[in-house]
Formats: sequence, C-alpha cells, structure tokens
Amino acid sequence: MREPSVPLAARRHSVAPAPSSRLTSTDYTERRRAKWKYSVHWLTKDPWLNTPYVWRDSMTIPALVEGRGITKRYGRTTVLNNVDISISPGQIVGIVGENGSGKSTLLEILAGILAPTRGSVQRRASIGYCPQGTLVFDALTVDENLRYFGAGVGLCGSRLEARASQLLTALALERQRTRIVAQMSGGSKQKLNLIVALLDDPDLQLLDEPCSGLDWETYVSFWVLANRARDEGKSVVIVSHLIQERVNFDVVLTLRNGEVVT
Amino acid sequence: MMRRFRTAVEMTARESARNRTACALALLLPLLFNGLAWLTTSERIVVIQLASVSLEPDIEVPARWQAMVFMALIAIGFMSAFFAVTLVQAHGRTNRRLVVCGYRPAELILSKLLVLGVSVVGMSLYCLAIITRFFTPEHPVKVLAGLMLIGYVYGCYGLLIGALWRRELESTFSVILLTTIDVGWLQQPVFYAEAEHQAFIRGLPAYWPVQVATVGAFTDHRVMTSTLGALAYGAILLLASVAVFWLQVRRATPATSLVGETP
Repeated sequence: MREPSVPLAARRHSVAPAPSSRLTSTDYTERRRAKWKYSVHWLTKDPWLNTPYVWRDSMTIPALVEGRGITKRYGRTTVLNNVDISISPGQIVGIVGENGSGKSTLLEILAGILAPTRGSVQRRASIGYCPQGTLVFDALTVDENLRYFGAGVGLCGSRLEARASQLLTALALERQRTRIVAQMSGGSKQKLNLIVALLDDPDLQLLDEPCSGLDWETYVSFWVLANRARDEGKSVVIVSHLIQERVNFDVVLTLRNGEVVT
Repeated sequence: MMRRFRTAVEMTARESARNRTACALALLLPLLFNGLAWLTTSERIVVIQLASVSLEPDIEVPARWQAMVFMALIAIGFMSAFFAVTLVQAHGRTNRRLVVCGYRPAELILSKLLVLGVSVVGMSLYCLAIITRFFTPEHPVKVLAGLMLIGYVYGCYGLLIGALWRRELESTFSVILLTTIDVGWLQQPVFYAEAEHQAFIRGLPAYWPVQVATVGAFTDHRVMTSTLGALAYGAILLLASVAVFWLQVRRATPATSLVGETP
C-alpha cells in the first residue's frame, strides 16, 4: 500500500489553541493590520502567529456554533450534564471519550437533530452532519444518492457534478459511482456517508466517527480534506475514540459520563 | 421546493422498482387470491346486503362473482398497506437525514404517497383485468374506482402505521389485524347482511371503498357518496400520517437559531 507522501504530524498546524489569550483586542488588531499582506484569509489564518485562527474572548468574530449548559436526559438517565462548547472558525475539534460518554448525543444536539433537555445552542453556519452509522439509500446507486441528498442542500446540475466529482475523487469512490450501495463494501458505504455530509461544502462539519472502516489511503485523504477545510476557515468537529487521532485535533474535548473533563 | 419533491419522487420510485421480488409478488398475489376464490366457490346465488344502498337492501349475486370482487379488494388493501409501511419505515433515520439536509417532511411523505398512488392504480387495473376474465361487472369503471380507493385508504393507513411504529413487528401486527378483520371479514357483504351493530362496521376504513366496488359490480346505483366518504377517510389518515411523520423526522431545533432554555 502506498504510504502518504507527507506524514500526518507534519501537516498539522497546531495541537492546541494558540497561546494568545492574553492579547487585548487592540494589540491583536494592530498586529493583524501590520501583517495583513502575509495573511491568506483573515478568518482562517492568524497572520501574526501564522497559525489557524482561534477565537478569543476579546475578539468579535463569533463562534460557528455555541452551546451553553447543554443537558440531555432520557428518563432518569443523564447523558450530558451542563456541557459548554464553542466551535470557532478554522478549527479541528475532537470530541473524545469512552463508549456511552455522550459524544454522539452532543454532536446530534449541535447538528439540531436532538433537542437538549436544558441549555441553549446557537448556530451561525451551514452544517454538514455525518452520522455514526451509514445512513444512505441501499437500493440506489452512489450517483443517485448524491442527487437525492444534493437536491436537499440545493445542489443540482453542473454544480453538483463538480462537487461530487471532487469528493468522489478525493475519497477514491469515483469508479463506483454507478454501483448500487447495497453491493458495496462497508468502507465504501462509509465513504459515501462522509461525502453526503460534505456535499455542500458546509462551514461546520460535524462528523461522528468518520474514519471507521476506511482504508489507510482514504484515511489520509480524509485528513487532507479536513486540514484543507480548516485552512479555508471552516471548522471540523470529529467524534472519535481513537487515541492516535488526538494529534490531529487543534482542540480536544474529552467527555466522561456526560461531562467535559478537559 | 419542486426540485426537491421531483427528486424525492424519482428516487422513491427507483428504489421501489428495484425490489424485484416485491414487484413479482404484486403480480402474483392478486392472481393467486382470485384463482383461489374461483376454485373454492360455487355458482350458487347468495344474498348480500349493501349498506350504502338503502332502497334495495338485499341483492342476489353468484357467490363466485362476489368472491372475485372481494378477493381483489383484499389483495389491494393488503399490498398497499404493507407497501406504504415499508416506504416510511425502511429508511426512518435516513429520512431524518434528508430533513437535516433541507427536505421538508411533507415533501418526503407526499413523494411516497405519489409513488404509492401510481402503484395502486397499476395494481387496480391489473386486478380489474383479472376479474373481467371471469365475469363482466355492471360498471367496470366503478369497480376500478373501488379498487383504487381501497388502495388509497389502506395506503394512507400504512403510511400512518409506518410513521407511528419504528419496528416491523408492531407494524405487521397493526396492518394484518385491521386488514384481516376489516377487509377480510366485516365488510364482506354476505356477513354484513346478518351482522349485529352494523354502525360499527360502517366506521371502519374499508367500508366506503368496498361499497363503491360492490355497488359498481352488481347494481346501477350511484357511488358518489361512497367515493367522497372514502376520499375523506383517506385524507384524515393521510393528515394524521403527515403529522406523525413530521414529529418523527423534523429537526429538533431550526438549522440556524438560538434555542431557548427548556425547563
């Protein structure tokens, strides 16, 4: 199997949020203006630190999604307890934790699929959601599934074709476009599951275990896509239970028994 | 909005058409039901009572003819109800994902209803063709209308059941129980003639469609009231199914909004 040309760690921009929380708004603005010519995009890159942009309390750039005091109960069982989360532009955020710690529930609440029992969620971005299980139509082909979901997000014709081709090529599913999903392997179904979530190039990608079942090359391609999205000022939230994936996250949110521990 | 609806209809139709076994059974079952009815009934004359025709309470018809019409009604009632259940239930969570992508729940369920409607029309024409091989109804168009109406009413019932229950077992019980008791037994005109508490039978879903088909097959009476009754009954079931489906697949919170505190 072909090894990736660039090691994963080398592609990372940062491990944790930039240590600049002591900066005041004025300091930051002056430095940003001074270095403006070097910046690629003021939302995606911090020109002074040359790291992905990270939201700071003193700045006015709002978070893409912000949850405050999220609590979710099923009967007497508390799945999430008073969780605060804020996803800023240009971040790859990992939500990690043991099985049953509330990771997927938190993601579903952020996506608007579940309502919190208590707490508030504010969204300011288009959201692409990739569920944990493969949720596509088995009796349809890959192309038909993309047309079906594409119509929902307002994509059709040449725009859909261009975007679909880009994603299918990136995740090595191009040759299976006309295959019925039921006849595809589990990994290929997961690729389609992921592509559906990324179809309209959302500002915020909420991905629940997106790499499960992916082969190594596709796994690497996925992280290339995720880093590219981050560089473009989009944010990616990934639920994962794999320890080795933590190095790819800018911010790690660890859940234990429904509470944030880091 | 129309593009989404068109795409939903097209994909639902493609998905259904790819279930070759179900398509084959849809052709086989009416033939089987009517074949059994023809084999197991005699030419003797039976007295039936049509509840919607008050001026002519007792009608004498050959048992075989009456059984043929009734079997066609049962076949379409069963198949449309189960087909509708499958359309809604088979992809419950995927339908929810479609809603998250931007579809409206009403667009999805109406697309299923449209595909179901086309299937019911096809099945009704097929059943009518089988019936007319054995005898000529008084008014074939009214019989066809009755067959389509039973498919419509039971299709809407199936949509409701499919939206209401998340698992197959409960849905299967619900469909089999009602279709067996209602279409397969209580609405049988021979049984109805001697039934107690006939008002109860008139409140069941198959009542109006069975009246349309039977009256059209054996008498010259008008079926407008029965047709409107069946349409109204189906519409109530359809509205209920849309409401339940909406509750099942809607977004918990709007796509971009502030969610208030929930006590």
